[in-house]
Amino acid sequence: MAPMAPMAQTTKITLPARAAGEQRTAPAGGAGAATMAVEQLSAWYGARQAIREVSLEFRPGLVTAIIGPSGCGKSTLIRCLNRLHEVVPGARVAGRVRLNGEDIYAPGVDPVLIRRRVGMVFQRPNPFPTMSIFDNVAAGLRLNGLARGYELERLVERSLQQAALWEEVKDKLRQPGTALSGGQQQRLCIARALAVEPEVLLLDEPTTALDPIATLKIEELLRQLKDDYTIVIVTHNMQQAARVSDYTAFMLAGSDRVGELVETGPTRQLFTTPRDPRTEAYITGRFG
Amino acid sequence: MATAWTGRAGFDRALRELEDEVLVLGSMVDKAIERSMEALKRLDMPAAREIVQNDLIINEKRFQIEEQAILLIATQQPMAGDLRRIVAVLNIVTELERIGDYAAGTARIVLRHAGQPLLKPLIDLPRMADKARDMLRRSLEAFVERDAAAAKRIAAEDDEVDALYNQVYRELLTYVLSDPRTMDRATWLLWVSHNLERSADRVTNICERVVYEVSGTMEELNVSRLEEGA
Repeated sequence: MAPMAPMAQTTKITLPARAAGEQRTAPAGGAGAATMAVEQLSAWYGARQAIREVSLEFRPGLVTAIIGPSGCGKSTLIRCLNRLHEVVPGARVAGRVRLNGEDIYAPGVDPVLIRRRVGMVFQRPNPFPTMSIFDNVAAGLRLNGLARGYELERLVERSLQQAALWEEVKDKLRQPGTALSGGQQQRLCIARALAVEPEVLLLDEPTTALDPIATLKIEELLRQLKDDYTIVIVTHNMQQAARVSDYTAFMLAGSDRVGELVETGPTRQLFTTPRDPRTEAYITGRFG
Repeated sequence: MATAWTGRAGFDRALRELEDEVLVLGSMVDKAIERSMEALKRLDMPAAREIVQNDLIINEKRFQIEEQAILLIATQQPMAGDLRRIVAVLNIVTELERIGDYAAGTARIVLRHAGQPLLKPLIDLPRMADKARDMLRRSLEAFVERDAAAAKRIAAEDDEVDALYNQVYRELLTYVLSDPRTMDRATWLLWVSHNLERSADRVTNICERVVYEVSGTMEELNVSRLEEGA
């Protein structure tokens, strides 16, 4: 694994520089953000098909938003990206999901490893209720034996810095994670996901449960994080998708209630001059 | 599961109201051009003064429409076609207000005459005014109908106005060359001609906005063939 270069001193959060020859603690996978691609991806819950033949790419250094009305399959899609979909009994997929070109559903691939490389943040902040702030962030590292002692502390601090939470919690790391406000809890969950050094970060409606200020803080955080990760965000808030993303994909379920990809493009083009009339109708709020 | 619903009735109504207001402003400006030419023909001073006064009302109307548009942006988060419509409105009312200014400028030229007769009977100037007014009316129709093809056709007719402008210029020049004392009055008519030529140019800008609203891209429509070595 090549050592990562120290991050540039800009207005954003600065990580402590890695020493030369230092390894990423997460095994396997490429250094830095990865490209993900879905090819003709379909997914079912038992007999019911949720999405049909979706093909889409998620590139490093970018935020890709997936928008669409309730039931269009966007959450199903994102959960296929880190093999969470299969946790539901009877669930299955067809098609390919590639992480840096490799099919994550290939036989022999460890789903747990995938879920570390492709991290996820959920709609309702869910810090581990019995754990302190520190232990929450350290959980993934400890569980996988990735770090101990001083190294663990350093990584926890770095993750909290990356999540723009360090200054607010550095003096109360032993307090329970649930003692934080909603917005802080969500940033704690982001820190927890970042601790195991994922290549892709998935966010499923990450600010729906938060107040407007907390929402804007998380959006600002995503702007900072996108340089180092591939970010995919599912949101039903169109203005958020417009504010935060570089690319937007619009999904819609047809009369058969199976979700399909209608249109994808640079955000600035999709929100000013969408090509498909269904996209126009949705983003102008004329159906929902 | 996408559910078709009645849409944003309140917002749609507000957009239609905005459109109606643009047409009202267009009508005010059209009348201003008409009245300014009438006042010039008859050198009607009171009429000219009224036109200059009324220009303030045109300016007010333009700002009222702007405020309405800005309020819609702030409260309705318009996207895509709605956003382009509102942006087009903001630009179009600016052009209309400028055309109103040109009509007021012509009215001021009437006042400058202060007792002197017109240099010559008006023939080409009323032709220019009629053409500009016709283009204006049709451009606003194209705006209402979102008809980009019509907008492009109207923009091309600006060449006719430019041709008349050159004709007026050459004719006034001959007056001045044969009798330098006519310089003042020739210049005043030249300014009127310039006002009308610029009004037609502004209408072309309105046509560009109509095309923009439909296609999403700004296209230059007013590249005059006459400017090349005419």
